[in-house]
Parts: sequence; C-alpha cells; structure tokens
Amino acid sequence: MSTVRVDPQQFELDIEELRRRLEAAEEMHRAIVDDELDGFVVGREDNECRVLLVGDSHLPFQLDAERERERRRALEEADRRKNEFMAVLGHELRNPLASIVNGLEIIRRSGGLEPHARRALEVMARQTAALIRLADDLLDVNRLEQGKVHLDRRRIDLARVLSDAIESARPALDSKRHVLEVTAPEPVWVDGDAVRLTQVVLNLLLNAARFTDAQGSIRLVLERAQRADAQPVAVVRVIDSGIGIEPDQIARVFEPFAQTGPHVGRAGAGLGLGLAICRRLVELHDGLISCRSGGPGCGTEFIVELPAAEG
Amino acid sequence: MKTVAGGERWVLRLYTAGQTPKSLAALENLKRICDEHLPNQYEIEVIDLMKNPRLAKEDQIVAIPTLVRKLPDPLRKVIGDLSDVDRTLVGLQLRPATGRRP
Repeated sequence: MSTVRVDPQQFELDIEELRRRLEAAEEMHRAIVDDELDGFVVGREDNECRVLLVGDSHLPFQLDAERERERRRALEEADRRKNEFMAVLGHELRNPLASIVNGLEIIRRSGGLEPHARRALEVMARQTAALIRLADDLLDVNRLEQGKVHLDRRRIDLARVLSDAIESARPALDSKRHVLEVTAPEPVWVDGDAVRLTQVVLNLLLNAARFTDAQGSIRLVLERAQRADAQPVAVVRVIDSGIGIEPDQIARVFEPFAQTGPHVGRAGAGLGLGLAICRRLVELHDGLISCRSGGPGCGTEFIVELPAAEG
Repeated sequence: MKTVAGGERWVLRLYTAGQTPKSLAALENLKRICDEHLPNQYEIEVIDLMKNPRLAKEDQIVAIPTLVRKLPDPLRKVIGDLSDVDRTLVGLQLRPATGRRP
C-alpha cells in the first residue's frame, strides 16, 4: 500500500483550476447551444493558428458554392444532352442517306432513262452528297467536342495535302469557273494527320468557292515562316475575292452554327459547321487558325499555322 | 448611470472573425453596454482573426467572438455575441453574479 501525500495548499489551487476549467467549458457549451459563436481557433502542430467558421457564419459562402455547383451541373447536363442529340441526329440522318445513295446508283446503272429523268437523278445524287457531308460534319463536330477524335500523326508534306484538297474541291471550283492560283514553292513538312488536314484545307477551299461569285479568284498559298518566338511554322493561306465578312462577325465565324450576315440563306450555306471543325482540327494539331477580311465585298483570308517539322 | 468602477481605465479587446453578423453584433452589444456602464472610460480594440489568426495566441482565444478584459486586472473573458447583457455584465464583473447556473 502506498499513500498519496496531498499538499493542502496545492490541492486548493488544483481544485480552483479545475473549477475554472469547468466553468469555461460550461460557458462554451452555453454559447454553442445559444448559437452565439462564429467559429473556433484551432491550434496546429506547427504552432500556427487557424480559424474554423461554423454554422451560419459560413452560410452565404456555402450558398454561393452550392449555387455554383448547381449551375455547373445544369450546364454539364445541357452539354451532355446536346452531344447526345447531335450524335443521334447525325446517325439518323446519315444511315438512311447511305441506302438512298445505293438506290440512286442502282437506278443509274440500270440505264435506259429518259434525259430529264437522268438529270433529276444527277440532282438527287448531288443533293444527297451535300446532305451526307452535312451529317458527317455534325458527327465530326460532336466527336471533336467530346474529344473522341484521335489524330494519326505522321511526318507529311503539306504540298501533298493541298493537292489532295484541290482535287476534291475541283468540281465546286469548276462549277463557278473560279480561278484558282496555287503557290507552294517547296515541300513544307509537319507532323500531322493527312486525312484531317486535307479536310481542313478542303473545307476552306469549299468555303471560299461558296462565298465567291462566279469567275472570282481564289489563292492558295503554302509557305514556311517563323513565329515571333522564332518557332518555325507551316502557313496555309486561302484568300478569296468573295463577299467578305463584317468586322464584328469575324470573331464568330469559328463557332458552330455561326451563319450570320450576308452568308445566311445563300445556296448551300450549310449549318456553319465547317469552320468550327477546321478550328478544332487545327487546334488538335497544336496550330492556330485565323480569319481576316477587308469587310463586305472585299474578300476573306483564312490563315492556318501549324508547327513545322524538318523533312 | 450605473457606473461601477470609479473612473479607472478599461481596456477591452474583442476578437472577431471578419464582418460576420455575430462579430458585428458582439461589437454593437459591447459598445452599448460600455456607453451605459463605463462612459468615457473605455477603449475597445477589435482584432480580426480571419486576417491574422496568429494573434489568437496572445490571449489564448479558442472561440470567436471572444471579449477580453485586459484592464483592469484580473484578465476576464466572455465568449459569444454578448447578446445576453446580464451575463456579459457578470462576466466583466460590472455586476456581481447572482447564484450559479444549473
């Protein structure tokens, strides 16, 4: 058995200290119950202090954060629905078109058609091709927006890309007897997806053809240049003598469905997806696309800049 | 006028957490109490712990708002928004306590 010696004086002090602490605890409890506190100061191991706000003191901030989360959720949901809609629409449009194309081809091959019937068939084929391009554009935009497009990047000569694009654009250019002038002095190499880059140049060419009156001129220029930071770049310019763009519309031309001003209602103007697709494809290639115009009636220039590679 | 202390200087320090309703209420309540019980003999220093939480160490503050009576001695603390005038007066020893709370 051991005895504990108690110093009566120390005992008094200890009891007093205990009573003080109990009172402080009771006081704290009351303040919390009565909702009189903003928060607490918390000491940390590194001897710093931190203020923790509780309850109502936090409320305005919490409401803001909650509202912000709600808004973002709604936006994401709207975006998801839009993408879903675009994908369904793209497929619903695209799939029937394939059987129409096949049907037209079968009729054409069966022969023995009256001249006016043959002409009607050609019109149908042309219009169907335009619809297919439109549906493909919708699907493309949708896939690009969802980051589902992956580039097959190889070292390629942009001159090849240009000539492929020109070949595909030839019917559109010839139909309005546009004068196409091409300047491509040397091979210009980039690390890119040839199919996608051809799509970009083709889109720009078709765009130029569409918005330039018959017998207007379209220039296609390929060159190597240096950016301000000395980075070598491959530059493709498509310059037309067409209807031009209002200065305040230039910033909008790369937005999907941006069909405004004098473009609207022009035959074959489409949905305004081509340039949006171009921009996303160029950006996927770490490049830049821009647009210049002297204004209505003064023509338009599109400039694509891609990081140049060595041959 | 229910002045308790005979003309001695009172130095009060109110620890707050920014411009929250409770911190603002605590300051308002404190001013009203002081104007009634300590006219012309008090000074209030407001310390915003949101701006500088380290200042909580000097008076070992754990709850916000907390009122500290620096002068006269001894040091006294009252926590909360000081909306209970009686309790605040007792806490500041401007009025003797009337029995213990249950």
